[in-house]
Amino acid sequence: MLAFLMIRKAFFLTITVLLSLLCNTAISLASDVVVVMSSDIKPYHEALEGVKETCKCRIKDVIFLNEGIDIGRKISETKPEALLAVGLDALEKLKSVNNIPVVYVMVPHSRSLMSLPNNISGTCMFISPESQIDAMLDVFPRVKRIGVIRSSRDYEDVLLEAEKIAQSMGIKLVVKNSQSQGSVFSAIDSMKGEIDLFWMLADSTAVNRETFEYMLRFSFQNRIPIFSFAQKYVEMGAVAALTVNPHSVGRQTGEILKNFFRDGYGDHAEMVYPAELSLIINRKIANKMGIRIDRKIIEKADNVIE
Amino acid sequence: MSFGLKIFFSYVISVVIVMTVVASVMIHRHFSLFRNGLIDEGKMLADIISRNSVTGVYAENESLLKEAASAIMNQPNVIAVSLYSADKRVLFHAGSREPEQIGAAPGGSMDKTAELRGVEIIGEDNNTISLLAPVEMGISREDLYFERSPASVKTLVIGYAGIILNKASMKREKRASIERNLTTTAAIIILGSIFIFLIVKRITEPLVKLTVSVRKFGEQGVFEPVHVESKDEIARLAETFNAMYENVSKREKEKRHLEEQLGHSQKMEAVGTLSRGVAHDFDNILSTIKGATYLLNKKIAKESPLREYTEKIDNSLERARLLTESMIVFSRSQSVRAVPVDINNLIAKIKVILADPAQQNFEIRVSLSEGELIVTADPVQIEQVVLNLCINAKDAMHEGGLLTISTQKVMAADMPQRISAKLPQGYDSAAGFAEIAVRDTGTGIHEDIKDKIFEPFFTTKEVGRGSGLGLAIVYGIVNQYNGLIDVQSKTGEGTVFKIYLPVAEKALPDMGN
Repeated sequence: MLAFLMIRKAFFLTITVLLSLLCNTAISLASDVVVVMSSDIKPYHEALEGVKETCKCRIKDVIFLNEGIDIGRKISETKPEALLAVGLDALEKLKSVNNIPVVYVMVPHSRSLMSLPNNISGTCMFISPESQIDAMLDVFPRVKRIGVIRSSRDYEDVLLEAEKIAQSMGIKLVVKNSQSQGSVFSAIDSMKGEIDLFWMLADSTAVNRETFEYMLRFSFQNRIPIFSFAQKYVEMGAVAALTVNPHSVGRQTGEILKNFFRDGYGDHAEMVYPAELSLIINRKIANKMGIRIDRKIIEKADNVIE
Repeated sequence: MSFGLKIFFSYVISVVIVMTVVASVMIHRHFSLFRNGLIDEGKMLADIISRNSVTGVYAENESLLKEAASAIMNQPNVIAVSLYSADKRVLFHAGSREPEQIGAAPGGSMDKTAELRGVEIIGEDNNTISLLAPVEMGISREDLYFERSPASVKTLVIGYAGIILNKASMKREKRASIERNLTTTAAIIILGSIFIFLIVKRITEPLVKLTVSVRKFGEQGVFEPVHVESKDEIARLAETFNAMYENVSKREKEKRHLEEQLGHSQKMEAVGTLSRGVAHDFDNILSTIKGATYLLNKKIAKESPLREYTEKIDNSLERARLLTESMIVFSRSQSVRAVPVDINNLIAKIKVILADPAQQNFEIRVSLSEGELIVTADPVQIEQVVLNLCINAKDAMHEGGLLTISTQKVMAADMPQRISAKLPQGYDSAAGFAEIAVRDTGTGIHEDIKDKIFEPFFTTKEVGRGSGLGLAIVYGIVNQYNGLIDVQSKTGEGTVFKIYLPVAEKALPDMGN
């Protein structure tokens, strides 16, 4: 009897120890991440929520750049296992970190993204040229000539790729160069009669409040719709836009982080295009310009402005 | 320089200094406010044009720039507007100053563009102020996608907007301010000076009056009281001076009175001494004549016509004897036998002596105080005094009248001022006096001779009717006992003599002779 009791006791003790070990192991699997955010805006928070869902990590601290905190000192104090840069400004701040993984999210397209060290990877906001052209042709199936302004070297490779894709689809890509800020207007004017659709790239040299107003005026006067990259331009007068969903971009980035924790970082940096996209259509502007958009596309769109 | 002028000039100089400082501060402050206002206006205009010209500067579009600049050029004080690219090329210019001059203005330099943080003054000279503002545009790629707060938006300077302001209005305002302040200052100084002058004059007027009064008193011995209406120190000074003058005048009066008394006493003494000598010698002569006359009468028959002449001699001898007797009485030595004397009792006896039933038109009334009225004196002398007064009174009532003799006790404090003023210094105001008043309804004493009535040998009576020594004797006796005589008379109505002799209860001060 006594022996039975002792055996039973030993068994339960063993189970307890094993369970403890298992828990500790589970806890130690959640890696610490410090987040550096460019600014305190809703899309960035949505992206961070997406990251949290998939990265299986613990967000140790969130630093906002406008608070003026010494990031280097903070990183030294917290000793995270990885850093998450939300936004381009945050990425610029963390570019020099080379001893721990740095993952970025919600970063616009830039040539510099192509030459990052191998410990920095992430998801950019720029949508692939193929997806964009597909979307343009879905919304404007009769378009044959797409106009675009090239004003910086950032989009050279994108436009080269776009040209090939367009050509393969029987579409002519009309690229107008604008070497200085002042020549954007003349570049826009030169497109008159040469294009059916204006493709707005997220290029800060060519696109700002003043040039967009000019683009709108050109669009209305010549009945040439604008296809943009962000909802705010559709609200202001562009006919359609293909945008990213911050939360799903965040989830994509979370996967990258998880891979880093699991596998470490590889030989080269990885830049991922957003997988989940949103189509936004301004039906009111389309109607004003006499453009009829297919009902199926309207139904398919993620947001229709009436 | 007079005291008043010193005060006046001190005040005026102070007012001038203060007003000059105040005016300078006001002018400087006004000018600073106006200049700051001009600069603030310029900064606002530069800021407006820098915001409105973003598209034009970005596009380097002259018509857009002209549209943005035209509204600013219409503003007063703006004489030039220039818009530059980021590399400082002139994209647009309007106004009377050449754009190159902005960089060449004293203290101004386009090199300052590197340090520009908003609108700043880049140059200033005597006539103009140059301001420059950066023309900025948001550049963040993230702003392409999302709306962010303006504070977090990064900007890029894509050009510059310059404004030149004319300082002419500032100069005009400065001139106007100086004129206004100078006019106001001058008016305040003038009005203030007049006001101060009137005040100083009012303040120093009592001092001037005081000075005149003191000078007059010093030079002419004339005292005029100084009247000051205020209640300040000057008023107190004037009161003190007035009191001092009154004291001095009072003392002068007393001194004169004493001198008169002394003179009179000395004169009396001299006369007394002379009279004594003459009377004595005269008496001897008269005795000889009287003896001879007596023998002559014995030798002459009773019926002889020569008796007429000896009778005349006898009569003359009798008058001469009376005269010498009066002179002896007048000059009698001061060592008299002073004993307590009841005045009331003495006068009652005199009434009996004076009463003359033959004189129907002559009445004597006596009104005596109750009880005794004691003085320390020689009763014979007192009797002499009263008798002399009564005889004089009777002589003044040729056709009859009323003679009143009265007595009472009077305290020094209750005496009329004109009488108590004659009291010697050191007299106790609680001292009592026996007043003997002799009143008649006679012809009165003329005012012109009132001061002389106590002089020896002074008389208004016919020759042979009076020796002129009666009142002198009265004066001498009364003075001897430290008493007073008061005379009040009205011609045609009568005279009252009042004698005051110290009563025997109080001790008398030793006056000496």
